[in-house]
Amino acid sequence: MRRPGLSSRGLERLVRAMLPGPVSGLILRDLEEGYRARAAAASADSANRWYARQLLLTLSPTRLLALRRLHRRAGDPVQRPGRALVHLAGDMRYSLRLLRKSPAMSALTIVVTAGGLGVSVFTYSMLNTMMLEPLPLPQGDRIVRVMSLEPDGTTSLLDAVDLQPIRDSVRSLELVGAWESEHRLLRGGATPRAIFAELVDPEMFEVAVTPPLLGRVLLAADAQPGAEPVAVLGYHLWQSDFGGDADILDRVIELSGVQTRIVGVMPEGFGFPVWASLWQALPADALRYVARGKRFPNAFARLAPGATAAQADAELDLIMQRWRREQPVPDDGGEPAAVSARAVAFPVAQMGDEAHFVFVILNLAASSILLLACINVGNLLVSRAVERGRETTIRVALGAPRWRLVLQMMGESVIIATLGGAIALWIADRGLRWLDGFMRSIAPDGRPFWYTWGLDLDTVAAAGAFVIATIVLTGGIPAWRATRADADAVLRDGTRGALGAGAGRVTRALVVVQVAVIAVLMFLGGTSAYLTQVIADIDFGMDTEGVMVSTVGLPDDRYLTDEARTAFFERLQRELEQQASVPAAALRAGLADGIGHGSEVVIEGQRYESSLLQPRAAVTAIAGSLETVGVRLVSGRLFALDGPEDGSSALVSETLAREQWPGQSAIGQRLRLGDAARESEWYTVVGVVSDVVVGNPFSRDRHGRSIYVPLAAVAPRTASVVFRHAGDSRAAVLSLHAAVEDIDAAVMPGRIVDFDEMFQAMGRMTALATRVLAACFGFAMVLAVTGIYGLTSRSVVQRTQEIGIRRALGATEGRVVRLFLRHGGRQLVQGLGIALVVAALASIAAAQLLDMNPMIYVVAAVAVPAIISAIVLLAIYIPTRRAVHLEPSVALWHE
Amino acid sequence: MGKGSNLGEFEQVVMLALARVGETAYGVPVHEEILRTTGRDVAIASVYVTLSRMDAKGLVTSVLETRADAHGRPRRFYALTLAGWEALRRSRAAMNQLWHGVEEPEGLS
Repeated sequence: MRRPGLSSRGLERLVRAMLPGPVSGLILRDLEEGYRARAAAASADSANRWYARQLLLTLSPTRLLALRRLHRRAGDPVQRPGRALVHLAGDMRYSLRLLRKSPAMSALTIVVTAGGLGVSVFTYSMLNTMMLEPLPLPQGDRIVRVMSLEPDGTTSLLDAVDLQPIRDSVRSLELVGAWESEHRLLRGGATPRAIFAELVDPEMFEVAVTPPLLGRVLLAADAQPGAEPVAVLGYHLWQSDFGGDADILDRVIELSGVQTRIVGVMPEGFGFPVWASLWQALPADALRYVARGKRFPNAFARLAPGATAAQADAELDLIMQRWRREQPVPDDGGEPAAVSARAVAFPVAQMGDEAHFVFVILNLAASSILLLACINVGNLLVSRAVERGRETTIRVALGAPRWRLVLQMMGESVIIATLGGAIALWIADRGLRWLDGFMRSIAPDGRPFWYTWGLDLDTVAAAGAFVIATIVLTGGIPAWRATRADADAVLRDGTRGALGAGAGRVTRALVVVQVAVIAVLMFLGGTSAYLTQVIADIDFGMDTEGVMVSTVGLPDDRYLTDEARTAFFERLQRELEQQASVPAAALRAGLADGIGHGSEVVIEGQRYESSLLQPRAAVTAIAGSLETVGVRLVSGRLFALDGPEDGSSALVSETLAREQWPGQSAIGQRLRLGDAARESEWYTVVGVVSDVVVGNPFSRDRHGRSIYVPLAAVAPRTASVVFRHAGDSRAAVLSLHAAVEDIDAAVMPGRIVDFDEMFQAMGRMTALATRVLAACFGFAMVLAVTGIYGLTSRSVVQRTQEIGIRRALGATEGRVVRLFLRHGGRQLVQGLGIALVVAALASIAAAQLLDMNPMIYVVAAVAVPAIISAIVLLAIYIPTRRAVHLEPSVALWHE
Repeated sequence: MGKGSNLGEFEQVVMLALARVGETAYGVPVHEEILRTTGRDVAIASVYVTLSRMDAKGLVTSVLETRADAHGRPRRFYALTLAGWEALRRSRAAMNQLWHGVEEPEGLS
């Protein structure tokens, strides 16, 4: 086909640009037909002339205006999507051209958007996995925990007594069952070690639906009285302690002295209910004859077919109301039956009652970073939109449909956000994998089994939503604003570059906001960096090398008297120290009757108007060497190690001694514990010891005011065992178990914590927190700095013509530069002013909670404004200099 | 009959051309017909503007072709309505009335 001559192409394009697609199509198609007829009948030349003339006639302004209103009829077929796509493709090409025109700026906006989106997507996905997603089990969304509803609206574990009526009569829940976790000493694997065993009602496996990898799951018969003790292994335990032995079935292992046969292995990743590594049957009558207030098992259930969680809650309300009426009111002041019960999703129950709150808050925090990114990218696009404001307004005046203009102006945002979104998904994927690996490394089997992070459909959907939000924020709002502009006002705004009043106001306000945001961020970043430093440097006041901690609880029915309990613990302490690998051991307990951390103290000879004015101290009952727990003797003596210490001796920490007996020795002074009004025994201070950190390690008064009394004075039911061990934690477990078994085989020590390992884990967490914080604030800083620089320099560039005029009228270079710096300075001061108020409020709030060096605030108040001023002034100075150096005549024509 | 419903000259030209072309009347045939009969090479755009205006008045009707060409460009076909015919007839009657009894001075042509 012959095509019209080259000269007409430009006109054609103009017609297309000036008219809505259907109208220009209509005319161009006819013109082409006429052209072809003429080219065939006469010559190509005359056809070309005719064609060009027709195009020119079409472009006459009155005709254009009339054509834009070309009559539409109701019966017209709706424009087909194919056509709309052609438009869209055109708009996209246009946007791409705009982006390609300034590649550096475009790359920066994409990076900034990707970062903001990445943080948001990662945070959402992480929290979604932890809290909102259903359990990764068949029908996982129907599996719930049954929790007790407290009068204050929180949930907690159900009393075993209250579980019974629910199991008996609930209809909207099925397979209601209980589970409890207990420590077991596992022998028969690679090395003996303490593990958690989940004692479960065998219904649990029905709820979980998951078939075993080997053998069978637990059956109802396994829970019957007199049944053979059997256990099902978790995949991880099977691998780590039994080398993944395929012939594991029917092997007999020893669990805390009980010969137990292994009947099955569960598949990898299965840890239901929470983080089980080994399952045993909970005896069928275990919870049947318990007294109220004695046992609080976990309870699981499945929503019955067709039932919703809300229905279950309503039914639980009814059941518990009836149950409360039937229950005798306890006359000993004990706990009454639960108010009601609730069916709670496992992940939510795991996070606690604040789960949803946490979810919202953390997502908001991440979104605010995205918002900042959007503001930045939006800024850049707004300045571009402002520059194109006249073009847009002319097109509006000519009748272009607003949605098309908005769409076209959003084209850049669409491209930026889409590319950014793709990069963000990659970032989130990397982040989630890393998080998964990290959590595996610090807690191989101590995390809920559904905490497996990675990209999933929800995450991709969320990313899509974030991308759309980004498009709307960065493109939609400025585009909508621009197309709503009053056509008349913009067309008559002939100020040739000295900014129109509206555009100038927007840019100036944006600069002020940016300055404020960046200043607050820098302030927060600085203080939190300082804080993490503080955390990393906390000296807990003790040597933790080789220190192990465990707990030992005595069964109520076997240790009825204070003497029996004290005797057990004192003997345990001696037995431990007799072992060659244990150089020192101590037992400690917080005091009973609420006199634990921060108990009131009464000093002899002092009077207190109210208990609020009494000094407070952490009170610990202790048997054995205090040095084991990292406390050094400063003066006086420690408790006698050979033989029971007199129950009325006490040790006090340095800080307490200095505060209470300034300028005199604390030795021989007397003190009482508890409320001044209550008569309690006097303790005589026999020694002063070094401080250890007590309570909140970040609090202002973390330097411990501590009092130690002999264990015999308290005779606790449960005590912590603290001992040093020459070997590793596995050897230490055996030592402890051997010592306890020697005294009473019915007593089972709790899990052993290796202080070194714990501190290492804490250290790693702190380092992680520091890195994450640093990365977040670093990124936020990049955002803010680029934003500020982009805005201020752009506002100067927009005024290039004004600079030209000033220069042409005789202003010196220096005067122009100074003028612009002064203008920028005004916004700087306003922004910093806002930031100062916010930062001051934040520091007042922080000072309530944290013991911060006040110099930090001073440094921040000086350094932050200095850095920001430097950025802003540089951002003004550089482009102003450039504009000033242009010949005035060039500057005048600068577009 | 109000003053506004009188046809303008170019409107009459376009409508008569439309009537002469018949069924497949879109921009090009109408334009060619005007060129052939009056010798005026008008702008096709003007033809559309006029047709569109008369469409709005109900003197012509139009339908958008459901299938566009290879470039995605649609085509709109026009036809006179009864009201359009009526308006044309009135215009011709008015002209005839005016011409009636008018004697051209001798020697003008």
